[in-house]
Amino acid sequence: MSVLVLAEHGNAQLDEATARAVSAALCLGNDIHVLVAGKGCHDVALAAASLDGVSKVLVAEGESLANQLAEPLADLIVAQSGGYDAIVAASTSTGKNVMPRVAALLDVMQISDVIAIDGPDLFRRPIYAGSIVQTVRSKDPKRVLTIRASAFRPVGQGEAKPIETVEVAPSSSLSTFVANAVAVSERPDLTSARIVVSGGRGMGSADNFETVLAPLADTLGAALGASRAAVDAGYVSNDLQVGQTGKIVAPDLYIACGISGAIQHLAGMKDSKVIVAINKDAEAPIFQVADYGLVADLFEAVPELKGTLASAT
Amino acid sequence: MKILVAIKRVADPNVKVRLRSDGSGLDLAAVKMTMNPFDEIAVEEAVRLREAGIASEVVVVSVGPEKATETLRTALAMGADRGLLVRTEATTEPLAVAKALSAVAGEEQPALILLGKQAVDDDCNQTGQMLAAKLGWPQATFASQLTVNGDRATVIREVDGGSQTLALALPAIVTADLRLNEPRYASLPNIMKAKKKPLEERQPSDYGLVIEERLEVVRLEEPPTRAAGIKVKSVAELVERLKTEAGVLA
Amino acid sequence: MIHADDGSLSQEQRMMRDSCRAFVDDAVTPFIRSNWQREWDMSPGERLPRSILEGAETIGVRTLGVPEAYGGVDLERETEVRTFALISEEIARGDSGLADKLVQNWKVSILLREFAPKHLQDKWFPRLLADPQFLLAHCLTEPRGASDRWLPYNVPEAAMHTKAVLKDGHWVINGRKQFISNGFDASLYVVYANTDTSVGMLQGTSSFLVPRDTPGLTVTKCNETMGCRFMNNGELVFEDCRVPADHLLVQNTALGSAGQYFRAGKIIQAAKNLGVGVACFERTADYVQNYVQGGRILIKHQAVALRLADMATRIEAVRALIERASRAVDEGHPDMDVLCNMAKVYASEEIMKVATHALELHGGNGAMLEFGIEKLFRDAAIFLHMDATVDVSRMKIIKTMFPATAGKYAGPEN
Repeated sequence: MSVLVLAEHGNAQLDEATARAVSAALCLGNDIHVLVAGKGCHDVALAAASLDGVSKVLVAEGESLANQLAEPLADLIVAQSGGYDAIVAASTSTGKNVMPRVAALLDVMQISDVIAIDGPDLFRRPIYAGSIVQTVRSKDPKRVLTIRASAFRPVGQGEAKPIETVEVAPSSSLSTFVANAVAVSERPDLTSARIVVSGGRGMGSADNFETVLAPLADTLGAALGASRAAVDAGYVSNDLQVGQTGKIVAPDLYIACGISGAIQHLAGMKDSKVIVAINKDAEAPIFQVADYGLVADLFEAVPELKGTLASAT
Repeated sequence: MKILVAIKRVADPNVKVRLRSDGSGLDLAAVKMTMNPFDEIAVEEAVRLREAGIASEVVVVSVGPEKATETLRTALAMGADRGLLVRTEATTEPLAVAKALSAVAGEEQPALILLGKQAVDDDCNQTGQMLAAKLGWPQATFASQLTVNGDRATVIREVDGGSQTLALALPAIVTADLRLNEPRYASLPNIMKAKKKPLEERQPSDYGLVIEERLEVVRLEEPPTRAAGIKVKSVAELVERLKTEAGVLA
Repeated sequence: MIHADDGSLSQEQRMMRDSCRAFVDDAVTPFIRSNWQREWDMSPGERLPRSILEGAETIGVRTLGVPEAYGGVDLERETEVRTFALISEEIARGDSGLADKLVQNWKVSILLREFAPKHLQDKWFPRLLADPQFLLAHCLTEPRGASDRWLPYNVPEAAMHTKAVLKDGHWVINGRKQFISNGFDASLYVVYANTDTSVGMLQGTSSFLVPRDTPGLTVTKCNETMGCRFMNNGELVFEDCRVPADHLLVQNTALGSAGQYFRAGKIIQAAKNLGVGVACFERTADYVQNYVQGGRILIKHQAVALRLADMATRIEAVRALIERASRAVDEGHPDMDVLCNMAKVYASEEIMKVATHALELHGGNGAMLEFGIEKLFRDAAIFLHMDATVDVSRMKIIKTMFPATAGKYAGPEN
């Protein structure tokens, strides 16, 4: 079975989600092609070509593809889709944006956010914020899926495979790119970090995120996350949101501070290996999933935790 | 300018959905149903555009069961002008819904279609994108800000690294993310007034459509629950346990 | 179970219930949970933040009973009392005191709608609508007695002590009212006073509309109560308080007319306590399914399960009686007065038992302020004494059922 994997990248660098999507694609077949669509993305193509399990990389470059806009990208994928049994992308904001458009153009029902592949047409995916896992059988001749990156181990590096350039047909410019506002952070990426320190409404202010929580994250070399409540309150930007409709994370250690633990938040972090909760409300639902719960005022406990860890290293 | 808003009736997201004890399906019999929260945001945005004089009419449409009329009424109570139910008791997959909405859009000729970015029951996050494909319209998903100016819309989208701004030529599809707005409640006086607003019911066959399923659900299961752990007494104990017991700290 | 059966409600009722529940879950419950000391703020004017009533305004729940022409809510009259009950329960599920604050407005609005002349409606309904903090109060109870001594005994000796006399185009009111719900912070009062000392209460009591700033009216204190603490219960003194003659609502037969208020009021109040019971059950069911003791969650211990079953059963029984009584009021059934009093008694005592079980099943945590269970217990307990005590209500049941033998006047107490 041949599978086309959409590379996740920012033109300069290949995102780790791609290695995870390749890993998922390998559950379906062994002829894996990676499509790198963008502009000035030669390094990305090289990186993709050296992913273990990939047999070929297709590169499509053009002005219209520079920002991964859904309309030209979907047209490109559809144009390339002919010989493939399945098309796979990670459930990133690009994957979620473009793949349903691809599926509809191919008249295929997409399978979203796949967490396990049980056969060529059998997929497991969470529904109801992860309360239920459904296994679906696709009746479509071609499969279009997005996969939850945290559920698949990234493939390693392999021998470099051939890179092939594909033509980009002109696409009507239905939408135009205006600007990107990228949050710059020195910290590790939230979705791939080994440790995540998250704050909720209990943080009380944006200032407290910076002065109380960030030092702990930095001591641990951790990524910073947040609950929806904290994002809604304007304490941090939206790209830090962990939850059903935000980022799905599964780090080795997740430290939730001042997070009550709404089911929508749990959906984004409950696959973490070890969960720590610090909350002054002993009844907060977060304690029901925490391996280690500390009922305490986070404004005392978090600095103390930071101090203890800093002095130990 | 006419705005079409597509809404879905879903199980209340505050309720934890479980399987029937015999494993034969979801136990939804006693679960309170509500409007998909992202769709509420879409309705709110449309109503605000009408209140600002930018839109002239807000039509809400749902592809779903007879009981979705109640969800449509709620949208009317929030301020939408007119409702349309494309009635089907079948499972509504996004592809089928997109086809039905595309047919409705053909009749209604809206300049803008707003949807929630995903339904919190099947968590698919597909319908808006599929509808855009079917209509050949531009799309802006995960919107956190929408500005309409003449025949163009500017949308700020929530994306992985931060945000992205797009300009779209109307007609277009916009799907709402959480922070687009804070939807109003359907107030009690407006609930009574909504009773008098028009709500039409159509069949998929009226549009020459058959609602079909492409995915067969072969199994449903509850994921293994995470057992609650222990409460530690102090930060010192926490650090000790993370090091020795959990082994996640060096 | 536990909540109203969707099938028994109209589409509008379900939608209203949903809006109220969303408001409670989004605004009220988080406020109560995160501010458990706030109840004990001893400056009553500050106790409930203004934002909560402003939030209540977004669902339009303060102005039920105000005609649609004035911007209020015209409920379906055939099911009005049932709708009131449903909404009262939902708000009380978040906070009983807040519900009490709001329902006083509905009850008094009904009176105004039914009995106030148009010029008074034109004057006061718009003001009520315009200000989210505008509250109404109904002033009946006096230091020397309330329903305990008045209602069964329609004789001059048992009349109200507060008196009103018509003088130079004004009614001059003298007397004292106590235990008045919203008494401390209402902007407009409906005051009952004796206007004919020669006859019994039912023939000699009139009602007046008295604005808060009327000279001669003094709000003397806020009663610090054990429960429903976000509703400020107050005491009022009237000293030669002059209200214009046209502020008379009902002359001499005000208590009979007030049946409009009393019946709906009983149901609304009973439903409010039902909301407290529902909150007790929800919190307890959640707790016993998560709290582990002896290696298993509490609900697997039989003694716990049995009590929880008891709570559920009592709640359903109270709901059934309230439903029957409110239907009777909506339909004008001859038994409605008896049923209203029964609903009051049953909702008081059964929900008290529900709250007691909630306290028991939470163990030591139940007694702790920050768990919020002791608050529900207090809110349930105070209801035994609200809107007539349970024993007076029992008396009324019997006096209404057996008027010829049990309804006789037994003489004044002193």
